[in-house]
Amino acid sequence: MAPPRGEVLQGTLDLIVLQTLHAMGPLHGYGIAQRVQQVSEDLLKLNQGTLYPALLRLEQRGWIASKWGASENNRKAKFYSLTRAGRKQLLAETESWERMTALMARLLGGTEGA
Amino acid sequence: MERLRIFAARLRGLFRKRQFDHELEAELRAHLESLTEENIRRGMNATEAAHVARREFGGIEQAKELYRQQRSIQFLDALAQDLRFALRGLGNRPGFAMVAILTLALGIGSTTAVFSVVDRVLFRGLPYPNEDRLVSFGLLAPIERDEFMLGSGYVDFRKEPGPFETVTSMAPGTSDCDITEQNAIRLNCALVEQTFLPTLGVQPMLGHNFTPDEDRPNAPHVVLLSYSLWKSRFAGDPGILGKTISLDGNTTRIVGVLPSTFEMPTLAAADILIPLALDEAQQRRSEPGRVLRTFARPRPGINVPMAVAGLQPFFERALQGAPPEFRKEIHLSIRTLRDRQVQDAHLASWFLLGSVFAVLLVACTNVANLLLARVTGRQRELAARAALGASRGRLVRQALTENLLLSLLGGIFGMRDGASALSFLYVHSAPRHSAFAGSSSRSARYSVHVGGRAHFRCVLRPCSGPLPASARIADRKGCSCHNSPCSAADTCVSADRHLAHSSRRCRAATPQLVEFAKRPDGNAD
Repeated sequence: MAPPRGEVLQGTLDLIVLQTLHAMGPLHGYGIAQRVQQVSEDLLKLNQGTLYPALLRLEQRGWIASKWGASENNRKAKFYSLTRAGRKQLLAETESWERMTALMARLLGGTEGA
Repeated sequence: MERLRIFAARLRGLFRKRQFDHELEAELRAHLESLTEENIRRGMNATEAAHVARREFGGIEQAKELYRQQRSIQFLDALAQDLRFALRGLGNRPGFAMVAILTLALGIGSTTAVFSVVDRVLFRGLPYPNEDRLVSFGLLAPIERDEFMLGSGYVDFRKEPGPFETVTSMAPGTSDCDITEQNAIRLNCALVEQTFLPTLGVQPMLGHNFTPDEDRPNAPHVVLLSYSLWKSRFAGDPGILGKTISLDGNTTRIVGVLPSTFEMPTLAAADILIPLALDEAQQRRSEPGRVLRTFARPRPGINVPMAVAGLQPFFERALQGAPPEFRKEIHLSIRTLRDRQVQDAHLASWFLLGSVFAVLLVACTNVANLLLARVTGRQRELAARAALGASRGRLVRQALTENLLLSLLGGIFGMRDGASALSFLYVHSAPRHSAFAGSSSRSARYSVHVGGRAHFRCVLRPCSGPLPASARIADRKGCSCHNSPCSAADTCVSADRHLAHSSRRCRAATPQLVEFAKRPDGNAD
C-alpha cells in the first residue's frame, strides 16, 4: 500500500511555487510540476492543472514574471521567474510559515507530553 | 498599489481574451505532451502514456475555467456575455422587441416631457435666496390677474412700507429698445427701481447695482446687461464695465452684468435693466400715476396674512377717492412670488403629471406582461441552462441584464420622443417671451437635465419586470410617461376604465397648461 497522499493545503501552493522558482531559477509550468513531485517524493498529490491559475495569480500580483522561450527539448514554453517583489514575498511567507509550524509543533508536542 | 496592479492585469485580461486563451492552450498542450513523453520514456505505449498524462494533469477544462476566472474581472466578463446573449435574444424575436421598446419609449418619453414642464411649476425653487419670503403685493382688479400699484400711491408707500422690510417696483413687462450703433439690434429692456436687485437678493456678477443717484429722472443713462447679452454681444468681455453703448440714441454706460441664473420675477425675458427713475412729483401730480409691478420682502416674523392686515389701512386710504363701484371690484392681494408665477397651473400640473404617470404605469404593466409571457415560453431554455450548471443567481442576473437592455433601448427612444414632444410644446404653445421659449438655451439645457432625472427613474422601473413578482411591483410603483398630453392618455383609456377618469382630467388640464405656458411673462405685462 502506498502511503496516503496529502492534498495541497489551501494557500501553500503559492509558497511552494515561489520556493521552487527561487531554488531552480526560471522554469516552465511542466518543470515546476515535476520539481514539486520530485521534492515531495510523491507524498503530495498536485493536481497539475491547478498550477496554471496559481501561476497567473502570482503573476498578477507581480511576484513572478513570465516569458516565452524554448524548453530543453525545443518546445515553445512559457518560463516563469521570481521577481524582486516575489523574493520579498517568499521571505515573508517563509517566516510566517515557520512561526506557524513551530507553534503547531509546540502545541502538539505539549499534548503528547501530557 | 498592489490591488491596482491586479486590477490592471485583469482589465488587460478582459480585452485580450483571445490572445490569452491561445497562449494558455499552447502552454497546457506543451505540458501534456511533456508528460506523455516522460511516460513513454518510462516504457508505456503511446495510448497508455497519453491516458496517464491526462490523469496526472487533472481536468483540463476545469483548469481553463479556473484560469479564466483568475484572468479577468468576472462581473464585466459576465455582463458582456449577458449583453451579447440578450441582444441575440431580442434579434431573434424582433416583434417582441419592437413592441416592448416602443411601449417603453412612449411611456418614458411622455413622462419625461411632461415632467420637464411641470417640474418647474411644482418642484423647482426660484433662483432667489429665501424665495419663500419674496412676495408680490398690490391691487387686484377683474381685468388684471397680477398685483399692481399705481405710481401716485407707491411713491409715498415706499417711504413707509409698513409690514415690509424692503419694497421695490418695476414697469410691467419689457419694452423694446435698440442698440443703435454698428450691428444694431432690438432688445428687451426692463425698467426697474434701484431697490430691485437688493430686494430679490441678487448681486450683479460684474460691476454694481444702480446707485440711488442713477435712479433719478434725468440722471446719466446707465444699464445692467443680462448674462446672455454680455456673452453674445460683447463676447463675455471682462473689461466691459464703464464702456458705453448707444441705446435708443442715448450714450449709455454699462455698470454691471447680471448673473447667468438671473430671472425676472415676472419671467419676462429681459436683455437689459434700466433704472426706472420715478419722478415723484410728477407721479403725484398725474394721479393715479403709472402702473407698477410691486414686490417686497416682509419684515422678519411677519407672514402673508399679517402683511395683508398691516396693509389694509393704507389700501383703504388709497381708495378713498375712488368711485364706490370701482372700489367694490378692486381688492388687496399679497402672495408669494412662486404663487404669482404658477397661478392656477399648480393643480393642472399635478393632474397632468398624474395622468402621464398612469400612462407609464400602463406601459410598464404591458411590458411586464409581455416579459412574463416570454418567460413562460423560455422555461425549457432556462431549465437547460440550470442543468448545465448555471446557478439561480446567474439566471436572475441574465434576466435582469436582458430587461435592463430593453429598458435602456426604450429609454433612448423615449428620450427622443420626449425631446420632440418638448420642442413641440415650446414651439406651439409658448409665445416668444414666455418662460419656456424666451431663454431657449436655458430651458433646453434645463429640460435635458430634468429629463435625465425623470428618465432615470422611468428607465429603472421596468427592469424589475421579468420576475413573477415584478408585475406587482410595477403596478404598485407605477411609472409613467407622455407625448402630447392627451393622445397617449387616450390610448390607455381603452385598457382601463379607471384611467378614463384621469384622461378626462388630463383633457381638461391641457388647455390650462397651454394657457399657463403662454402666461408667465405674457399676460398684462
